[in-house]
Amino acid sequence: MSRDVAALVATELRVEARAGGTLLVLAPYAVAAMALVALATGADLPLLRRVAPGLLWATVIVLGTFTAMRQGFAADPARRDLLQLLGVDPAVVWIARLLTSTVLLATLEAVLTLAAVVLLDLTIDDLLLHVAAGLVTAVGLAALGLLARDLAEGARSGIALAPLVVVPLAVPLALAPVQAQALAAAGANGWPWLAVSGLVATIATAAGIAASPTLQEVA
Amino acid sequence: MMAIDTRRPDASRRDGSIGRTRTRTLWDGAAILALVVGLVLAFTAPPDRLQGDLQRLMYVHVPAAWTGYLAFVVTAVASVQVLRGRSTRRWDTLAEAAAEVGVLFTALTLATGSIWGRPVWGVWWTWDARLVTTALLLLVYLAYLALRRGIDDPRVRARRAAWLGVVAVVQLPIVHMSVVWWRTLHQPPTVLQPDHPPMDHLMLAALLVNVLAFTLLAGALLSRRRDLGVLRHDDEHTTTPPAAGRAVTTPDLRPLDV
Repeated sequence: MSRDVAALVATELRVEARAGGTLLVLAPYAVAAMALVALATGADLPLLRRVAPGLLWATVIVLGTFTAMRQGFAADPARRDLLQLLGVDPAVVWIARLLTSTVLLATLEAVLTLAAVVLLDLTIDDLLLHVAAGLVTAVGLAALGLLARDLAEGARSGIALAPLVVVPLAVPLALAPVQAQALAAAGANGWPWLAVSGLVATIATAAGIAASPTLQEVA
Repeated sequence: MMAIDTRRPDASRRDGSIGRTRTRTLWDGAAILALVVGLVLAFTAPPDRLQGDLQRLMYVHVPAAWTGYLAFVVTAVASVQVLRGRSTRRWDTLAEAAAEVGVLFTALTLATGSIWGRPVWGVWWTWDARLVTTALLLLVYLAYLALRRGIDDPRVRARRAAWLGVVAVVQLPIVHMSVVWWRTLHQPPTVLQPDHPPMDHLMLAALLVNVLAFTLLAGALLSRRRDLGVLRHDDEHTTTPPAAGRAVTTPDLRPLDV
């Protein structure tokens, strides 16, 4: 099972590296969106410094949803059928898609963190906490995005429906890293906040794995 | 193995309709009576010492919130039944009806809360944990309803909506506990306190009667909305699919209750 997952993730990341959908298209777009907010609010650095953590994670959630909703191998019916004929468990395919999206989202978060440090003068008081919170958020957002994408697949309203499902459920994923870092800045323990985003990530992942046979069957 | 039943669905279910009509009439009567009593009690209960008559909004706000919660729980339970392979005619239509009723009452909760908040807090909306989590709850169930409307195949629709119905209900404990977990402007739980509720007995009685009245009203709405859902379900399952264009059709041998 783990070999199947590793093979699928490696293939998918290779395809992504060639196409560059996340790093070459979405990441610059996200940085541009962040810069636009900074300019639209009057480029007031003290204000931007204050809102930087919230702006960073809101951008990650809103624009990262597009990465989280990527279908990868599931987009191509021929490849999907081939995996089914080869007897690959739908849960394995789903986990591979989840891991791929998680890697891409973590990369997007790294780029956006750098952009926030440079453009908004973001201060990170506890780097380890920031990295851990980013990873949990990436897993949670990837799971929610995939689940929403699979649910909305083939709907008349198209995949535009998926962000409407993802964003309200992903609020704890944006809230947790911001609050954790604010507590760390005040000298308190911010780690318990990761339990909140961890809970969302766990529920979304469990639901996605449980739903994967059904959603593949009806796709 | 599921038996194939080619009878018209309305013919097989006609017998129970008289009994259901009688039950529904009784239910509607009870709901109207409870609403009238609730209204009278809401206006005769003593006013709040600080907020005066404004506090009477509580007799709509709290019951509406309770009814919304209850409806979303019904959606989740019915969704679980759909995922367990039980009759979609029975459970999927119930899940849909309950979600619509839940959205209606949650929207009413937010509206009355906003009207109440303006004179008390000085703003129509504040970034309070209870308000925000309730608004998010509403958005997710609006997405649930949008998902249902976007999928034509009834079987696919039922199963996908069921998954969302199960995931979405996780928000309910968060909304309820938000006033405990975060520092909020919204008051903490009053009626559901473990010890004696710190409220005048008449006010508590008026509140409980209104909670009952709203629950009965939600039941009446749910029943009617579910009947519409059943009609649509039967229509979807008795419409003969075209075999070769629209000119030639095949007999529909699909089971009625799937």
